[in-house]
Amino acid sequence: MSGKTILYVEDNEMNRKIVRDLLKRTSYRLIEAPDGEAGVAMAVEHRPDLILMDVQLPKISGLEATRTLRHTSGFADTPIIAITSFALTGDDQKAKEAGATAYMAKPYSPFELLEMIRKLAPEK
Amino acid sequence: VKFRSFAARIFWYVVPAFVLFVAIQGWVNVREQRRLVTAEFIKRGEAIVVHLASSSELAVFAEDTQQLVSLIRGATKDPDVAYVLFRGDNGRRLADGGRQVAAVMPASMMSRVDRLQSRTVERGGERVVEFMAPIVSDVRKSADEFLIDIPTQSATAQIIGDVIIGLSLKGVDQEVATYVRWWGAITAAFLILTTVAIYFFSRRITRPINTLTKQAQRIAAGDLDQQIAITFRDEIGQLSSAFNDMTRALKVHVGEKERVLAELQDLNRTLEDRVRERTAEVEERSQALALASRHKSDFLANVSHELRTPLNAILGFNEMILGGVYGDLPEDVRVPLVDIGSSGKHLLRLINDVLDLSKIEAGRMDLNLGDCSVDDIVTTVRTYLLPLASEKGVEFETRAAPNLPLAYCDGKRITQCLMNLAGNAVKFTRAGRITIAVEVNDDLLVFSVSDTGMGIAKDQIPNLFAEFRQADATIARDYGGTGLGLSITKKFVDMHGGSISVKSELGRGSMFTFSIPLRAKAEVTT
Repeated sequence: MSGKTILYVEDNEMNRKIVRDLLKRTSYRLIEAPDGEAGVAMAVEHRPDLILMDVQLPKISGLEATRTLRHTSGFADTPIIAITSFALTGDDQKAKEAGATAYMAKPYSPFELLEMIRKLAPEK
Repeated sequence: VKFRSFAARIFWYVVPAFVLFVAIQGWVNVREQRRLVTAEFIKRGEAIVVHLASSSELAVFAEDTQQLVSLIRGATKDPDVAYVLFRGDNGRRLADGGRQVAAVMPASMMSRVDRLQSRTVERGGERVVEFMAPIVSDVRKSADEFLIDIPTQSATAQIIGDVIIGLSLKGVDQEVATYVRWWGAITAAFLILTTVAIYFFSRRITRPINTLTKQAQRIAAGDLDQQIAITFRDEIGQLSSAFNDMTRALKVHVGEKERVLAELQDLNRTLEDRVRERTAEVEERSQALALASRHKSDFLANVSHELRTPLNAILGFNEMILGGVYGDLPEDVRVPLVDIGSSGKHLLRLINDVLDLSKIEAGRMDLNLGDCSVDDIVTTVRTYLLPLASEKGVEFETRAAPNLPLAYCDGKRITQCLMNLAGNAVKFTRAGRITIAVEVNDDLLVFSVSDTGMGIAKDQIPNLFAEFRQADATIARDYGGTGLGLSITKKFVDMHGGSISVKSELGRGSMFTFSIPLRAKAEVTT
């Protein structure tokens, strides 16, 4: 399998498992990071084709990690989907300002998320 | 009014009348005196001339000049007698004498005197009354008879000459002048005495009045300690006494007032202190309360977030199972899995409501104002609720006025409001129809949701928009819901500067109406 690499930065194991199961039957390769710092480090190391970034993260927040990556060379065009549980006014705005390509409110429908991933980083 | 002293006033009222009275009295007296003196004078002159006429009869008859001169000398011893003339029957001057005799011109004389008469003339610059009497030769008649009977041209009586005397009026004039002077002096004395009397009298009146005036000025200046010394027991003395009483009463009164005022100020200060204390207490408490309330809201927000993370996993896995991610599904397992899904979504809505409300209450909810299409709002709600209504066999109708302008509001929140109201309508209506209507009224955007549902009892309406309220506690069991939808809706409408109202009839249906400004103003807070 030499599909596209997706990085999922998320501290909750259950949520990570959902995406893991969701992508099991696709050609995407999933790599995971449990916090913002590790997420940035892993992104720099593996150069993923798409990043799923949870906003509520330990150490540094998903918005900050997104901002950091946007200022890192090679990440200007990488699709980043921000995921948050605060489905409130202004969150999508904040995510866009931080540099996120798209926004998904938690709880999300796994199939909708998959659809969004396929749109931003088509499987072959 | 010009100030004029009391003394002057009395002076001008009394003195002219007094002086006039005294002067008239004087004038009358002088006149009477002059009359008396003149009558006396004439009597005297007549007596002298008659005496001379009778006592000179023989001498005239005999033309005895010597005797006549002697008579003249006797008569002129009286200083008033200015001159004496004896004339014979032909008017020839027989003898004369006296200090003014030179001034008696023959031409000024009466040619013939036949009875006693007199006239006033001027002789040598001296006013003189001239007395004239005929000299009658009649031996039978006594001198006294002359005075009684007017001499007649009887056969036995014959006028043989006459005698003329001039009696000077100088004495009379002097006497009258003295009299006038006396009266003048009396008048003047009266004037002076009256003036002095008036002065003292008015001083006697005005001095206590001045004292009263000064006292009144002192009282006006706030000095209530002075008392007026009372010198006379009269009306003014009574007034002074009354004034003293008034001053005393005033002092007591003012003292009382000051005491009350001081007490009042004291009370006021105490009250202010208390109010300040209480205000501080209340502020402290309200701050503590606000803090507690914020803590509660923070806690609710955190709990909601923490609840949503596992819920995301539940719903996610459920959806994936149903979606065949984990392989094919036996049909009898699919139904409970769908139930898990819908229950989970319901739980999510409840959590969202709690989160919204706690955010609003913590003051952390901001409106995201922008241009939004009213048609889109209605369509979103319709798209979501139409299937639910159809499932229950309830008609679902939306009526939007044509050409609605773009509204300036928080589209998501207004959609949420309309969704809450219409969702309730679907929930509580078993049969009939649900109508959503939108119209623009002046600069207000008016949404209304009416249904043919169970309706709301009148006494429940006031509580309708309070948190955790449903018209009946059993409703939650039968219909579900947090009871937060209406209070959240009201809060969002309030935040837009709008208003919400409800009309309902039990068993017939309800109509909820909310209106927001077509152009909502930013910075509207709850």
